[in-house]
Amino acid sequence: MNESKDRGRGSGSASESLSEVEYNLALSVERRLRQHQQALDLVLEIERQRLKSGHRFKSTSSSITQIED
Amino acid sequence: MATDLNQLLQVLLKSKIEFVVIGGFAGLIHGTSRVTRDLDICLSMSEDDLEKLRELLRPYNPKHRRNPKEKLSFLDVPQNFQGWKNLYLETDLGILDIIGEVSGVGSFDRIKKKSVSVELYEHSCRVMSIEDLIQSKRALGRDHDLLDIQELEQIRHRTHNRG
Repeated sequence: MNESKDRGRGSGSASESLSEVEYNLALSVERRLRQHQQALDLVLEIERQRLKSGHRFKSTSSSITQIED
Repeated sequence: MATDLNQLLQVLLKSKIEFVVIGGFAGLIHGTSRVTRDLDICLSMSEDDLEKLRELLRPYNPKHRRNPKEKLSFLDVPQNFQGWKNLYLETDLGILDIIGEVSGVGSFDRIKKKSVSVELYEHSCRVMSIEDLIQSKRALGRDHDLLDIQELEQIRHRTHNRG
């Protein structure tokens, strides 16, 4: 009986640990996906503006730097 | 709470506050691949600009984030900005770090002078130059900064070769 209690206790704590790992992983994945999505949105916005204006960068200093495809 | 740093940037761009995007976000705009969890900007840290910033961020629940035990509201603290060099905030739209002087590079005026202008969300956005970004990351010297430097140097090399 003690054995089965121990087994029960052991498997209960193992499943709790797995759930915690899964939960933390899910949070991490969600956070990373959001960061990547934000980065992608930013790049798309840069490209949108580039296509609209025809060039990507111009420097505010006296030497003008333009990057063109 | 889901953050939206792009929206935070748009809010700043629509305001009359002069700032330069620095840090990871600037790296992204230049073309690096590492994503960032916050928006870093360089400001003059004048009383006027910081008061404008306070009003601008009012709808977004801005709080000082450095003390996790007690996150004071930026709307109440500080009462005046004399002597404040940097501000580390969290808002409903995400983390916003405001830096007055960037290590290894210099003041807002110096950074603005060498910044590049990028059209974003129908506004002209000032972004730290690649050279300054590399210098600032060298000064910080963290592991991920050293990786970023490698990528930024490749981007700079590619850019110069095109010209």
